[in-house]
Amino acid sequence: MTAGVFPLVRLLPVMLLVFALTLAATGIGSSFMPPERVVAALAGQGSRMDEVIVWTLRLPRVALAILAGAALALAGALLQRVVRNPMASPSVLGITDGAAVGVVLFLWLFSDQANNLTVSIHWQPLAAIAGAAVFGALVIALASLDQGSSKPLKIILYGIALAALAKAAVTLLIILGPVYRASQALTWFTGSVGAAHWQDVLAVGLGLLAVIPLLLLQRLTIRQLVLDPQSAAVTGLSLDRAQVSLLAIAVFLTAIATAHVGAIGFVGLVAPHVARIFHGQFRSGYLVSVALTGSFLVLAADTLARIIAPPLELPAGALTALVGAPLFLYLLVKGRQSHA
Amino acid sequence: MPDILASLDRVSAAYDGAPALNEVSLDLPDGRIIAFCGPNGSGKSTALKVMRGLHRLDDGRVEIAGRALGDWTQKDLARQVAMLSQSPDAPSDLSVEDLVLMGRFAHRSRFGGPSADDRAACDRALGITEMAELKDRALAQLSGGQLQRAWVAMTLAQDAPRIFLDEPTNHLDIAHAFELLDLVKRLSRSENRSFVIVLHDLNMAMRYADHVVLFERGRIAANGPTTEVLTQEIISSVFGIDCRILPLDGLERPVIVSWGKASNTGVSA
Amino acid sequence: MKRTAIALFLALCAAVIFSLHAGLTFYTPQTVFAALMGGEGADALIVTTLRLPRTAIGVVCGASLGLSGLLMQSVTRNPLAEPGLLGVNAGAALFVILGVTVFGVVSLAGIGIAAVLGALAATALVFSISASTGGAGNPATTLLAGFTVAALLASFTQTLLLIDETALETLLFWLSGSFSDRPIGLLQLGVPLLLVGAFGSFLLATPLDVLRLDDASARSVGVNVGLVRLVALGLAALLAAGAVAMAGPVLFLGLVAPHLARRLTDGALPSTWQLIVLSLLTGALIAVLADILARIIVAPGEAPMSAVLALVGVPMLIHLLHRRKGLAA
Repeated sequence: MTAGVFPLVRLLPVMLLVFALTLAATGIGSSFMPPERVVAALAGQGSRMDEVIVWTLRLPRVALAILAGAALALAGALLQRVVRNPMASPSVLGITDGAAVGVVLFLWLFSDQANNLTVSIHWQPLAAIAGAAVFGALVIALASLDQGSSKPLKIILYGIALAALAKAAVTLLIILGPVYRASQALTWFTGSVGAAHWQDVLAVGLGLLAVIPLLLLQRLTIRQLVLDPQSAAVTGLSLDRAQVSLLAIAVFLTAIATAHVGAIGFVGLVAPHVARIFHGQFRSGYLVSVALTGSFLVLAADTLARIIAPPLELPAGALTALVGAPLFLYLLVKGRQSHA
Repeated sequence: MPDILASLDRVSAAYDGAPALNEVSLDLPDGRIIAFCGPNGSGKSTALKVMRGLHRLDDGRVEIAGRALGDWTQKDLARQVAMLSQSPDAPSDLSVEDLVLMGRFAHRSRFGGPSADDRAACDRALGITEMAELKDRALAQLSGGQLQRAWVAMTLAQDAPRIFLDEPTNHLDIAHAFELLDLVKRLSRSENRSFVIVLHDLNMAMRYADHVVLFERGRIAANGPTTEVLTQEIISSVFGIDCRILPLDGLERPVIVSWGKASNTGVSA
Repeated sequence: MKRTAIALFLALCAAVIFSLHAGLTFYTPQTVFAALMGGEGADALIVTTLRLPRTAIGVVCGASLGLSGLLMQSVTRNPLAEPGLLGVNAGAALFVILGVTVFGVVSLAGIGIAAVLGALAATALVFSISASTGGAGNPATTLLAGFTVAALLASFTQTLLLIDETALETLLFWLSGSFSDRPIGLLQLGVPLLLVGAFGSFLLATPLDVLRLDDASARSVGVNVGLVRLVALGLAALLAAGAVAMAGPVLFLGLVAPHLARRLTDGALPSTWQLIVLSLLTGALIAVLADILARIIVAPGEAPMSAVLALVGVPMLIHLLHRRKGLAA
């Protein structure tokens, strides 16, 4: 416990990275803006045109990437503690696929003959949250009904089973619908922050804000979960309650992020690994480091997705997979000693 | 009844339907070193887990320090009874000091860092187990004996007056085993802490325990002061071996010598 | 065991015959028989060019996946290992799609090679990840590694399809896993791979029996554990590749078939040799039945067979998990 050392010092590099990337990402686009103009526009001192571009087009997208990245990364870190396995991630739990069921169902139910939506597209996040919540609740319910001794493994298995179920349902719905819907749904699955509005930012931001006090209260519990179940219980941890409540927080974070940016994968898996190596998973401020790393990853992926093959914009989720997965494999081999 | 550590009243428990404890009733005195002995699968470890609320009761009732097990909150119970389980596990990159601090879970406040009390308890536990100079090491860098001592330190940092140890000498060579049990004896005498220890080695029980409970097939075969329980007749009948109990010069307690399965040899007990 | 095998074989024959009759329109045995004997007309055409191929492909594909799952489960001592959940099918699918969209592969041989390469690569990746995290003995870690790799490969596949929308239309149904509308020529790919896999498995049956012990004990009785594991996983990948090339990635079949096989033999654990025979049969049977169901449940539409399997397989998996307590032991 290095409580004497101020954790901010260790967090500073990743904070600076996120900040620098924010400036760069706000500047990059169909019309490039150098950092000083970005800063001027942010401070309300730029040209009218710059301010419009920054405030209505680019900043919501950047902010959404930052917030969604943080939420997904935190969900991953919590899950890895709950199931005591560094390979766990939000997509394992069927939450992401559950959200997909919600979205496809929404597209299917509210389309008319001409493939036009009969209700506003702004309801889509709500459908995603509903889908994620149903499948998340199913995992939690199955896991808490189970009185067996090997609960972490069971949580993973139930999650994988329900994810497969959700995938099957999605496939079925897509096959039955027109191809136009299929490609729309596919875009969503791969994950993209392209269509960001301030209300998306607000929703994800409020969700994160609501979770922070809970995480602060559960700080010691989250740390205690690294012990084997029996040792954790004899130190006074109410294991079942801790597992279920943290699982619920992880489901909530995943649902809220997935609903607004789609299924951006690998952030929840990779960010905790990176934070573990550069910050240390037992130092105070670990979760902050995880969140910032997640923000950085999604923001970087989205920025890359915009500039890699203009004018075509790749979904950010494709980039997090392309970049995140090899990175993950590398970290796995490099940090082998830390998960023995 | 402050002088009762734990009492079991017709307790039954099972593993996946296979009975492990069969209507066991037992009162354990406080302030002693109590050894749970018996053949493999006799229910001694299950009894310990049941007493700490780690294993479900199928029937019966357990009281710890005069209060029914179900009436304790997890944290209150943790402040009263610490336990070292049989194969504890923590991430190998955890430092010894962080591990020991985890023993303070039930004492720590939800906000802020560890208090002065927490620090003091950890330092004391590290000192007693002679782990102070290794406190910054990661668990992966420790030898088997050191690792076991680190876990003992974590258990001691919990500052509970009652401590359960489930086969604590399992991974230790004989010198480290003696060292650990000497430590237990010291703590019992100087700080008046109670210990319940599951032990395989009858000679260890003979040497260190004040009180022995002998389990046999989910029931209690004998229960009482060490020298009254560990006798030739009882050991022979419970373990099915031939043995003799011999006094040694300069030792307070006798030693148990065994030479084979019952009546395999001509030597009669 | 012999009786079980014969019963399964008869059930399979019955399912195959029923599969030729069932569909949007049910035919009489006379029509089917006439069609098979070289009859003419629309009905005969449907039977010989649609129902016969999909049934044959179903049998070969199901047998391949059943055996592939059995091999993976035996070698990893993980009751939940199977090519679908471990990302092997996703690997084969990605390579096939890469071949079709990027390299313009159209030949059967090309698709077969792509599928085999993809399956082998994914298998190698998953098992080296789980070994490098010290999780060789930990079912959760292998499963998570497989899930992660599967998700990764699937997101590559999705990206490819997003870039190439025409490919999306033609490949979407293949990707969902189905036996319908597949050229019967695909059997030229699947049958040899199945034969190689089955022959290899029978050769490996005895060492696989020994591998039920822990590695150290297996080694001490003279089994080259590393080699057996490598060869068995290679065979499992080949079998999965054949199945994927024919039917697209199909989940759960490799999981359910060996479990059903074990369940059908009462009493002591059957030998690996027996399990191989039974898994081939149960796999084929389940595949044909799921395919029949896929034709019927959303008629006049056509559900992807793998979705049907998941809808049946998931509740079964959950039930299995609830029943078995000592899974993690």
